[in-house]
Amino acid sequence: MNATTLVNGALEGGLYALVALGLSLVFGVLRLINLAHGVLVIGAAYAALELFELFRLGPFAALPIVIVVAAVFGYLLQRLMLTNLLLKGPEAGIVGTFGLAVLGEAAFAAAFTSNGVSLQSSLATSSFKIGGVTLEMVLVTACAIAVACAGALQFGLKRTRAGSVLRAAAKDPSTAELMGINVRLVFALTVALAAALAAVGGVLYGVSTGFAPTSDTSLLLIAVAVVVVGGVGNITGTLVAGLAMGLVQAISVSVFGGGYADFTVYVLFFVVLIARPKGLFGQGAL
Amino acid sequence: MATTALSRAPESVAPALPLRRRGIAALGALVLAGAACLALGEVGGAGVLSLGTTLFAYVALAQAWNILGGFSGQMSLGVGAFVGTSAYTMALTMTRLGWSWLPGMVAGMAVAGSLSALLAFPLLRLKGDYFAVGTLAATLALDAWFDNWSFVNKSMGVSVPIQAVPGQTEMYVIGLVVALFAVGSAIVMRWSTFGVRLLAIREDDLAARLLGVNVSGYRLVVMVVSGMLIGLAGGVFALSLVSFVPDGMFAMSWTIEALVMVVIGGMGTVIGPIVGAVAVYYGITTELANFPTLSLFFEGGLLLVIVRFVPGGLWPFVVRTARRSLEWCGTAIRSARATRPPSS
Amino acid sequence: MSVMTVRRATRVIFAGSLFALLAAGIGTITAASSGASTRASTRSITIGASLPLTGPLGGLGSDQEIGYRAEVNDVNRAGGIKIGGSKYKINLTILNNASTATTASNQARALVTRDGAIALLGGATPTISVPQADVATLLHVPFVTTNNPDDAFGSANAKGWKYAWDVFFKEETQAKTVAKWANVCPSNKKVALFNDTEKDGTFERPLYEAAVKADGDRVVGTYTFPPPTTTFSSFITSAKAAGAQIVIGQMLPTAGIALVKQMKSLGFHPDVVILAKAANAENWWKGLGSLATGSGMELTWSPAAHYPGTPQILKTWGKKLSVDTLASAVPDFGAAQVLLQAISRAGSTSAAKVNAAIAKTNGMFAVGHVKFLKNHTAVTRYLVGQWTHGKVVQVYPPVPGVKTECPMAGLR
Repeated sequence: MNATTLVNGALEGGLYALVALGLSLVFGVLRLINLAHGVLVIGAAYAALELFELFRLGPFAALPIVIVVAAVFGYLLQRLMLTNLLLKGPEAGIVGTFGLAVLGEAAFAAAFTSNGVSLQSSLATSSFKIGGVTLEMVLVTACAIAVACAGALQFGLKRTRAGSVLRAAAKDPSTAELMGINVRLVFALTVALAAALAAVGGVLYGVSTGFAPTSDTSLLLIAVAVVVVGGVGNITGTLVAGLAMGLVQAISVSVFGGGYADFTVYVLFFVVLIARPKGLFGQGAL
Repeated sequence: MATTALSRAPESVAPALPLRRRGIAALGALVLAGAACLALGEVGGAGVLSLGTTLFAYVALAQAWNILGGFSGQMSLGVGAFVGTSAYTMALTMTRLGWSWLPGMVAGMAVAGSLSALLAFPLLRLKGDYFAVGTLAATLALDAWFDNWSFVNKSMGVSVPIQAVPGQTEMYVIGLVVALFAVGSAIVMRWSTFGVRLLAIREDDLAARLLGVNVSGYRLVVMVVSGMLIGLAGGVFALSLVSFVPDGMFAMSWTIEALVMVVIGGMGTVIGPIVGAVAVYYGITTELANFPTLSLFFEGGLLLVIVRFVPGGLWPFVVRTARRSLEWCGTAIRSARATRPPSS
Repeated sequence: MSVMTVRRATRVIFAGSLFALLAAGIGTITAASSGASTRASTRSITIGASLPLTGPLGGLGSDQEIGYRAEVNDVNRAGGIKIGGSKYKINLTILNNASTATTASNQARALVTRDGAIALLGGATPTISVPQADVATLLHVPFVTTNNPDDAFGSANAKGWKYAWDVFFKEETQAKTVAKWANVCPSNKKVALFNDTEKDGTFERPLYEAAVKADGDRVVGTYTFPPPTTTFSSFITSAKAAGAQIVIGQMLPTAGIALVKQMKSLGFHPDVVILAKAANAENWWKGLGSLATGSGMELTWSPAAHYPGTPQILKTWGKKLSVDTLASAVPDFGAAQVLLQAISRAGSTSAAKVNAAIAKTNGMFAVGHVKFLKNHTAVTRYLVGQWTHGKVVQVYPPVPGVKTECPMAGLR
């Protein structure tokens, strides 16, 4: 086990956190385990790929467009679909978002085939050294963006008027409604924001590795683990849990061998859940 | 944790007839249905036998999930854990100890039940979404463990000895018995004081506790029964699949299938999961497979349409529509009688 | 009669009618399918295949569909298959199992029992094919598959296969060929092995180890990981520190793409890289671009191997499909040839006779020479190709006029 392994492990965790932020937000505000979250992430990566093929836009030039498209999609999704499902109970939300995930996978397979693809960027293949430790550029970027997003989100939730409206809607939707808050609008904007975050995560994921139509499942599972360990709706918790997850995975791989990478993560997930159901860092802002 | 605005209204749970009589009537209907299925297997060809076997296993799987999720209100995302342990127990006892399928299946059920009891202790402390996520975590960890465990041949998987697999007709009967057993358990649970207390726990566990219901005890029993039934279904799947690997048997897809079937058919009802299993397995999975490229679009789209437009599931929808039309007929007849002048 | 009794009666009536509907539905379908098969037997025969057209194995499955359909279309265009003096059209029914074993098994059953298939063609990888072969064994239906390494398939049934046959390369051949090719390039003979924990990856790892050792190489790192893994920095750091100059592996394409990208990023540039299964289609080039230059790829077919029908295959498909897609589709074409020729030779659609005819197969097909061994597998050759400028060329066994480019240019 050397420093490069540990540092890059933690940085990979930053990517997990970035992917998990949107899930945490939706889980925390809407009480919905969004099984289509992975599809949103992968969808953003495919959108960036398409923009590259159509207009030769690099992943980071395409990113703003992808973010906007994802946010609009998230808003419409909540308005036209999820609101009605959530009124019917949590299981309808799970089945509905699972339906979306199946639909998404089918659409990606039809449009882009089932083969693995990737977003090409020089960022993915460059690195720099700090005192003998080689850092992967793309992971450093992902991690920095994750920290920035989490910080902005935390600030927005705690310090702005919009944030307090969102928190009120999350804590007690019916009272918030009575107080004149348009809960449906707030929820739709939350999903839009979550989709935008998923888009950022997706593009960086696509740059750093390969992806395929069914990559959403493993992304979703790791994101759920990160969200729960960090505390549902706890933005800072999600960030820290993501980094910790990456680090633990790197350590476990060095100690027990790569086969146990998943095992360690999921056992940790289970143990934390049992010992501290509200996550290591509690419920947090929401 | 706020669920107020978006949670559904508690259903009326008042039993109409003396519970026991309703339960006995339902069991009688079940026996008749079983006999009909048996007859169907007799007259139907190989197609019916193979389709029926899998369908029955899914009915059992969905019903087992429904008992936990629909009756006691604990959404499990860990069906794969019990399918997997049962299937593996069966394969290992059959290959290593030379057992035949019946003791193998019973052993599988027992191990799945024990796992259920073991997991119940930590998991029952969790509520709502956290329980769901906990079952998911346990399943993922088990899958990852089996992938690395050389005793179970790691990710290379195991097989049931193929010469020990019963013929198609026997498989149909085994599947049917497992399905009847699951539906029968659901009936017994639904129409008994046990079931009424479960509903009370589902709707408001604090109130139930204050009324003297042993909440954790009931939940434990339901979880173990559900685990055992999933184990039985897993045994049927193991026999029809013959060879399998951890990633297949502990897969998330078992949960999704069971959950989708129950929600589409009607959660918390006895007949809903059966309707759901038929609609999803026969209607979506089997028939749409003839359109390879479109099947996934159809599947995803149909799920959305059904959860969006048929709230509560297909079975309650059918019952509601039927009752409404009956009532309408009744009113129409009565009003016709009332308005008709006496003839003589 | 109380309201409640009415209510109960309604329920019972509806439960009853539901069962009746179900029974009627199943009955109709059975009648329809049996009708279809009786009608079919006068003019056509049905062959079934449940393939992983979507999901993680979707790339392989789609190529399989191309290969199977091509052979069936060829035969149908020539008037159909000759069985005992008269010609029959072949009706190829393909279902999508979305890369799940349970569905693959159920669909194989349905193809036989519902659609009346007289024989089955298999889906890619042992995870999909072995449960299908089990179904074929239970239902006594001839089954020919490919894209299944021989020993994993052959050993999957402890009692030995009866109705299931596999045409593909052998894991040991794979390991030995890969090791031989890796040593074509001058290097320090230090090898790092990367295998995922899927069935085939686990099977291949010890064979790779033995093969490279036999060629005088030293294994300095053995890395295993769950299939969906896409982060490799700890392995790469370790392999780099150990001074490995040869990277050999077997994993899913997404993992392979991630591995190569991260190797470049972390400044690990081995001279030889060959990742079986990962570099299996055009997407390897699409995903990696010039990074892929010089990486190795497994082939079961290549124009340079000069198997029968190569000019014709190139003429029909060469414009539409690249060599790497063909390399993956032609084995399926060959497997379908083996099955159809056996049916024709059997002169009957009886399972036992077709099965006996498959067993006697001995001749040249689109995948080279096919003759089945005791374990019901026919060993085809394993070829190594190299990616240069978005194309694959066979480099091992050596082809006159083509040289392996060393070291791997993409990572420099």
